[in-house]
Amino acid sequence: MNIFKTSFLLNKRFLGKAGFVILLLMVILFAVLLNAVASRPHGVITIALSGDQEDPLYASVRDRLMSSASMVVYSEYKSGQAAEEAVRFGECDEAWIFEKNSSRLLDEYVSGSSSSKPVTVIEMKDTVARRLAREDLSAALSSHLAERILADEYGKVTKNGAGREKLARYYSDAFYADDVFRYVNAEGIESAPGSYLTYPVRGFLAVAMLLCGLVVSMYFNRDENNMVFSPAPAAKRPVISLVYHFTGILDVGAVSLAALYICGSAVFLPLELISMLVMCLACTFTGMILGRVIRSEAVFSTVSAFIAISQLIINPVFLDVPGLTPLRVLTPVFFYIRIPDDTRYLVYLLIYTAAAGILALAAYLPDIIPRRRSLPPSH
Amino acid sequence: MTLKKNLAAQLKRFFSFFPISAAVSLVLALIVSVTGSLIYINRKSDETDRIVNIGLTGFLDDTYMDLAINSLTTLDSTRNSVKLVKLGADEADRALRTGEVGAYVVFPENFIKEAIDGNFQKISIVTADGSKSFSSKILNELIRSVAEMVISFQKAVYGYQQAVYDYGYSTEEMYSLGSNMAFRIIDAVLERDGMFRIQAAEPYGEGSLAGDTASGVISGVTAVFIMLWGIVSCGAFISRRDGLSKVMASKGNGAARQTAAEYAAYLVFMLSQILILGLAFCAVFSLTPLREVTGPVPFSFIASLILPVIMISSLQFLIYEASGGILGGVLIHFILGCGMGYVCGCFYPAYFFPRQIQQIARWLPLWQARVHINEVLLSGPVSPLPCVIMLLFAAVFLLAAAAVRRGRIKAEGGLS
Repeated sequence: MNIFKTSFLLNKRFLGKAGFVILLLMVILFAVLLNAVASRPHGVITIALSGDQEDPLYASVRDRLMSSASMVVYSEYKSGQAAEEAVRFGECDEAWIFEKNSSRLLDEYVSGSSSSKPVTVIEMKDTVARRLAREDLSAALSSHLAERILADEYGKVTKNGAGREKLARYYSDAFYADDVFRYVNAEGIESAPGSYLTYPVRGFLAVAMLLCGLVVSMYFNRDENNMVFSPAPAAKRPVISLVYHFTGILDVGAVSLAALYICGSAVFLPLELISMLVMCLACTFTGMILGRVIRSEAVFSTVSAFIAISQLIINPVFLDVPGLTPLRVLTPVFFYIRIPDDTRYLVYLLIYTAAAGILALAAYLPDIIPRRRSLPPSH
Repeated sequence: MTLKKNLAAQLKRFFSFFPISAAVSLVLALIVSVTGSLIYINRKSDETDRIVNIGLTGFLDDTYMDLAINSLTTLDSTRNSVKLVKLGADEADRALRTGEVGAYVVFPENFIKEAIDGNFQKISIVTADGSKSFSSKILNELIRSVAEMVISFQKAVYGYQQAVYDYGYSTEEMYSLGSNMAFRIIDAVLERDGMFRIQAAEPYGEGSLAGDTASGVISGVTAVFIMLWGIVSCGAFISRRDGLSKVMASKGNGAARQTAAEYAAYLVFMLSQILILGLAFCAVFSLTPLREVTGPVPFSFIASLILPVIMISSLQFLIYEASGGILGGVLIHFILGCGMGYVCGCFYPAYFFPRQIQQIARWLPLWQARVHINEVLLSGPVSPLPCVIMLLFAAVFLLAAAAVRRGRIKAEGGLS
């Protein structure tokens, strides 16, 4: 048996089906569309900003908020009323309106001489996302607040106080802290910026590959029941199964890799190629094991649907739910998702693949051994 | 062959899968409820109501830094959403991998001292996925805000100490005054909401596209679940014999009649499946500890699924009809279901997407299904528009399926 020829013929058979070709094109189209969507402005919450352009507090906070790469999208409105209308009409989720003379109001807030607040928040509903966004506002105001507290405290312990500019210098000279953070992955490598909208693509395609392994297994069982492989010796059945599964999955793997590059979710090519090949093998073995254990198509299709849905929930495809790690290691999806940010997971995926390979071989042993025993005695 | 006979044959075909798939579905529902309950009980005893745990590691020995961080750990009691935990470097790495913390922040050695000397070292925010996922980005946002506040207030304390020292206070007095200042800063952090006046606004019309309630999550997940659960029927679709359509057409059952009978059988199969799973779901969320997540789910919820099942099953039927093969069919089903569910707000709230995409998504089948289920769950008035749109979608999908079937029969030489 020529493995490459068998693989080629199988591939020709798969690609001969219009549905399979449409699927491969759909993956690419999906990636292109998602990439286009992610390039448009988006965020988890939209905030309407408004304030007096001449007010230094508003100008400083606005510049800080609008220049930061944030999950919050800020839109500036000409007046407080326009910002409030934007909230009421659902164009924005919340409005942060800086009062006229908000600088003076912040001074009064710090000294406790007035109950007026420098900022009015117009909200429709208090949600966790909005509360988190408000931390952004607190952070943007914190340097102004801290500087004023410094001045206020200094005024209390000195006879004549000091000029605001002089105290501001004490504040800014305490230490210089600009561009404070670096965002790194578990290996300490700074990550390239990416949209959360394209992030799920890797996990989503990994689940699709696993599902492909399961469906190919159903296909293989059907062919086996139809005696398609009967001319081949039983001892070669595991190899045929391996080639059969791997061929089907490899096509999906190849377009998945292309989709990752289109979405900008791929890391450097050698790592992607290796992890994709190992992932294809892992899905092959997983499919082979389940294909041997579950012979009923009804059970297999139900289990496949369950696995596909549960993998989307268990793994950090869309959301990372803590506490599910013991369930995640049952399939290769989790390891594959984590590889770009922590190459230790490639080793875990290899271990998973080796273990699944041994189990897959074990699953085929009953087919091989009894047939050998049934050979007629030689004379 | 009459339509009635054809329907009976199709029902027999689909329902040959029913006992096993229903039993497996129930077993799987049981596993989900047990696992979900165990995870819920485990998490509840561990971290009540917190949405994120953030680790802090590195150099945390500076007194004022310690005070500031300790004051920020009260974020948890004031906002009930975040917990900051101090960890060793190895502990933090392990906690990140096991998911005990969503992220951790590494403060460099002698962070404050070096900063005062003019050597500002960057603070590292470590997330498992390098800050690309939605969860990580939210964490980054929060950590950045928290750390910015810490740094601003640190600068104020150190600036103040320098100012009073220059004024003429002794070193001891400077430290004493610095401590008082630090306590005032802590008060300012705790009362930072005092800078805002919060005013509620009433919406005009239907208001914001946002809708992040528990019912919104359940309706979105349910809609995409119905879509993906159709994969269970792939076994029944694979058992369809090639050439049978042509034979049936020759006996007077044209493409439309074949489609009607097959779809009717498939619809009954899907409704039965969803009914069983819906009952199991209602039982799980009414009888297990998971009821604390959403409260008991009303049985009207099951009734709300009928129209979405009619529409979604017609789409699934079209997919398998058009794909012509099980491998392509299942994967197209999966990718279309996930992709559509994604933009329709079934996985993330729809308002996470650009506004133009939200407007387009409103006209997709899963959006309509989600809106309809949500309305029933909220026990409010059910708008007729989504119901009409769903029925229209079902009609269009079935007509398309019949057209595909007709084309296939023609290709096989069955229709002149």
